[in-house]
Amino acid sequence: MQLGLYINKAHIWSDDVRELVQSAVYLAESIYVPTTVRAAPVLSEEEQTAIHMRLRELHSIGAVKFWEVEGTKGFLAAQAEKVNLPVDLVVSREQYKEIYDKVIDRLMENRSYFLTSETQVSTEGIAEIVRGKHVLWSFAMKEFLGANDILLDAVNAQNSMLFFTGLLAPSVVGISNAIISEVSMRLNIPDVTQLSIEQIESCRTFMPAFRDDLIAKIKADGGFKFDRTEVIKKTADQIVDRFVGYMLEKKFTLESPDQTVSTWTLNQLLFSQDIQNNSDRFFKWDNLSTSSAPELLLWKLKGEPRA
Amino acid sequence: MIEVDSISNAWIEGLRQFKTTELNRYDSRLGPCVEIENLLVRIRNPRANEDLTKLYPSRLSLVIDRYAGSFLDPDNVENSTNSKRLYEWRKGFNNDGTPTNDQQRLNQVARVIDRIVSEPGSRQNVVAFWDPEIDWTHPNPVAPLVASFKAPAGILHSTLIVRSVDAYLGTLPMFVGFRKLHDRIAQESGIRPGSTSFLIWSYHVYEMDLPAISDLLDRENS
Repeated sequence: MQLGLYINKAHIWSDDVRELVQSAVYLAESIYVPTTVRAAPVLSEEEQTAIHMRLRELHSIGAVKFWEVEGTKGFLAAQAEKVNLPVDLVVSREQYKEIYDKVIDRLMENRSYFLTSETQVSTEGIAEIVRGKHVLWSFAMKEFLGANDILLDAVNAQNSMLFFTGLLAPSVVGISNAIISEVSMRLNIPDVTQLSIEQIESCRTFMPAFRDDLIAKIKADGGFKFDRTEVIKKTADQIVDRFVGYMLEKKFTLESPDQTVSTWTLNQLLFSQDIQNNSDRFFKWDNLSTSSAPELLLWKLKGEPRA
Repeated sequence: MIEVDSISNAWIEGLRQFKTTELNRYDSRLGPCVEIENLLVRIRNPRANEDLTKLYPSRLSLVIDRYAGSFLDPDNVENSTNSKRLYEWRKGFNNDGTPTNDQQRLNQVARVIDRIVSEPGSRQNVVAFWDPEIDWTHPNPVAPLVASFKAPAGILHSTLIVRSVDAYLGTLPMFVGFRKLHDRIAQESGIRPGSTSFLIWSYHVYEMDLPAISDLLDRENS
């Protein structure tokens, strides 16, 4: 299984970068970002530079892929002068027209269905069409780019819910991010945005096993369609319990110069600064690169030294 | 400011502004968009039977026509907020300032016609769309806010102030709808229709529409 995420924003902030990095480390092989995206202009020059650099770094390891729709940049030339991000995927004029026409057709079909007549007037007026076209456009572009889910901020998510009330299943990505935050807090895993791009790239080798296990847990019994809070708690409990159990099964041997053999306690494994300080040596205990244990990503993250 | 002779020219010139004007760019609740603030459009003498159907996606024409029609439709207040505000405004007070005791309604359009007849140069001939008790917290508040009508020389001139318009999909229905109302008021007042102006606080385009607009402008240029 490969997971791609779609995002469509004009401006990104530090919180968006955090979400991008978290998704790159824990969930997704690729995140499709518009090449017209820019750091929010109200941020300082230094912050903007850092965000653009981070985007380029994530692109360099394949975590971010930039997309654009032909015919858009001409309107946004002023801001394009300052920052030039690469393009991986271009939606041609012909493809755009095909997608756009399909969006409008689908919108009108659904509208007729729910209002029971195409001639029916809605109290929302044109806003109904404007909102609907955006939601459907997001889903159409997600399909076009081959992404599996949409990274929505709270405001966009509310818009989608308004349009598709009762129709949309909760986003697996949205609930996954909530579970990851819960697990990170309980296992004392530091903020992944502090990782260097080399560390992110290294961690991503363990991501698929973790992600597949996470999504399987979320989808078990179809539970995620019901009580979101309960699913987050239950899944986080399972991951933390499994991680602790996995660690207890292992006997870790430090390869110290005097050949002292040391068995680590659970407390040391989970919270010790020594783990972080000796991360390179710890990773000699197993052939990590070929192991598929879902817990290895968390173990790796706990051991990564922070900048 | 845009000053032209037809609704279609007003729309096309408005869209051209997005290529020549410095734009605000931001993430709206619907997605990335670019915006021109306080666009003023004056349509000097719109043709009554201008064919606009070729200009926007034909699949949407019915919805757009219905919206435009809401400015004229006193019998459809249950299904249209514009109609409700124009023809059945919720009346809270009597003329002497005392609160109303029942569900009285106010026909603002009828009142405008009466005043044009009795006092054509009046600067108080104003119609409200925005209801501060409802729209302040409404998730989808009305776009038109307030309109004024004046006929000092026997020719009706009107202005509509608009909070926010999707320049690609919302302009034509807004312009056509208000123009129809303008023409009806002129006709029922027994005077000639003159210019119609629009002051739009947020004239914006969603970025997903930019390539479609680019194609439209290319077609209009060729």
